[in-house]
Amino acid sequence: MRRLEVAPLTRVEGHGRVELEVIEDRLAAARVLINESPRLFEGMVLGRDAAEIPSLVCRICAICSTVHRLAACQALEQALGVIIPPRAALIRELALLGGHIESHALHLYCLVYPDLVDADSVLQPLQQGDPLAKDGLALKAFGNRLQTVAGGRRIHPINLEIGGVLHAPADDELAALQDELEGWLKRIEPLIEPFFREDAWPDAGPVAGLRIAVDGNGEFTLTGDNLVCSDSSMVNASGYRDLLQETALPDTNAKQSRKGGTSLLTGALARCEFASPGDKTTPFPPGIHANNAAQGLELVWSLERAHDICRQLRAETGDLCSPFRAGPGSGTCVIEAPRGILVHHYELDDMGRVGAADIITPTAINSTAMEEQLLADLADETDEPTMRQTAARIIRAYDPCISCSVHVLRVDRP
Amino acid sequence: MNRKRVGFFDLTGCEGCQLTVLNLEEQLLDLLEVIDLVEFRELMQDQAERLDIAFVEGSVVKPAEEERLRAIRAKSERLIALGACAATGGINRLATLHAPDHLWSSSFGRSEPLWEMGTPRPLAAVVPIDGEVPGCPIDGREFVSILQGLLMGQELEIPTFPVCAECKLAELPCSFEQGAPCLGPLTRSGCGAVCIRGGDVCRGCRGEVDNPRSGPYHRILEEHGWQVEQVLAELRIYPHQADGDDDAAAD
Repeated sequence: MRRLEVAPLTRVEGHGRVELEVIEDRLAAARVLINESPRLFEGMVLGRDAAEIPSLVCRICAICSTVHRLAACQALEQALGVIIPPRAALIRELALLGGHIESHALHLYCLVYPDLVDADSVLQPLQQGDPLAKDGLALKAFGNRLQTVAGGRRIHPINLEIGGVLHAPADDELAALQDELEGWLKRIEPLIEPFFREDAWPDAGPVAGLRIAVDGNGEFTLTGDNLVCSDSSMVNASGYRDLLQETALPDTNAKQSRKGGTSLLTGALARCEFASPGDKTTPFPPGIHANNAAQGLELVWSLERAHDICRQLRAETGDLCSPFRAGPGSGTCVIEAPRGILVHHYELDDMGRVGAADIITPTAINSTAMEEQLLADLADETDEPTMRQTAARIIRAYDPCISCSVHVLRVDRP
Repeated sequence: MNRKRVGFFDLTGCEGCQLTVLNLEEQLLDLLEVIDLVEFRELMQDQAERLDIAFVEGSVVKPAEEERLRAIRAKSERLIALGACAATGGINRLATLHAPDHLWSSSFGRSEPLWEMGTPRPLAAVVPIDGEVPGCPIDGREFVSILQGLLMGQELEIPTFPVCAECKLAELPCSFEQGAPCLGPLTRSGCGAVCIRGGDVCRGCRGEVDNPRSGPYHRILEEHGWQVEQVLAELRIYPHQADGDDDAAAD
């Protein structure tokens, strides 16, 4: 038996590697290993006041800081029995969509696109004046603009707190965003087209894993109360443990999820399969790169939804934040991060301080499906360099965020 | 022109400071005209042998990271801490407030550590550094101006006055007068008081300003009816300066 290593994985968020076991020229086992240092966030928040938690836990991961911050706000609001004003909910959703657009554009154009044009990094197509790379980067910048206007900052937003938001975007800012969104909606189709091309990637078998997503009742959504699974089961957010059954693995600094021994797939492809596709869709390419086409489709949906929200917000004048009192309670939020389901769960003591916390991230959920996919897609491959290259490309297609799949930090104390 | 060879590296953190660099977008492309970007794992596959300037994000947590940092130091003319985790240990230092078995059982349901790891430390606790870009995350504009200075061979300079000054210049309402304690009077400026502008308070992510005036700060707290312990309990998120001492809590 020989062991092949793909390390470090490049053009992904965070530090990870893939180990392939080859017996008689055939792939016998594949493992996705997380090299990130555990950061133990669930321990770090213990004993802290609920009000501090959103700004603290958004530091788990930069690219998903808006969605982490919102997940914490929503879970803690549930624990404290707070209902946020409708205007605040719209501003929050705008920030969330901004993060979604920014993350998908970063992944598609900066991390995946180089594979499509045989480049080492996006810098080569950019320096050669490739219009798609240039527009992709501009779309990423626009997602950041939405996050800045609605969230107060691109990374580690400021505006999102328990009870609602701290301030509202000015009308002229919203009007400008509306114009820009209309511009993007006119330009988006050709920008996502390369990810739909059937001949863009080598042929591949079906995508592994039971699909799981936040239930949107057949529509595109990033938020909701329930988790839906492609085996037709549905659970309320508070029952997430039954569905995800997360276990800590001894030799990788992350936790994995599987349902009764079956791997789970979360992310853009799962979301798109649950949402009614409408008439805009062309067939997705075969294999896991369907996930990248799904990201493209979600870019369109996100731009449309953001446009709708800007219009609604311009007519809104209501409150921005509901008052709340510290106290006991427990709450769970399930929400869609760009790369899949994110769960935040908190239990507060009588003083409103965190007594227990549980955070489950999408890459942890997907890791078993990634391993299955590697085994299936590389079953007939005998050439080692191709095996390595293909493994890296397959993992990248999931848009893994390895820094967020780890939420832990160990400390030595005398 | 002899272009400076610049690289970006990350240890333990959220990668938000490197993402701030990527978020420079158009400006990043302009920067690439004047530097030679030789290593940036998130963006490219290359690895460099020699660097003029290395920006390192994140804290040192694992023994392997200590080795990696020493290797980066050895091949770099100048090594700059990129952001709070690298400069002061940042939010990672919060872990020093808890017993390790408690931390492990909270996150992984078992009290024995699963991997070999040390206390999260700032870069300066392991190797000498040539300066820092403060903040959690760093400020993109400040990063560009610091890089420009470095390219021209200048010493790295960061503001020596507190966030309070920037806040007053921007005519923002004082947090204390809104009933919330704030670390603005003690924290290094350069962020444009972005959090206070956004309706929040300063949580001190940029570290302590040089020669902080604690006397007047205590008077402000007293005037507004706050106890030092209360402020510490609510705002003790970031260490005020680089401190690699293993049992020094983030106070």
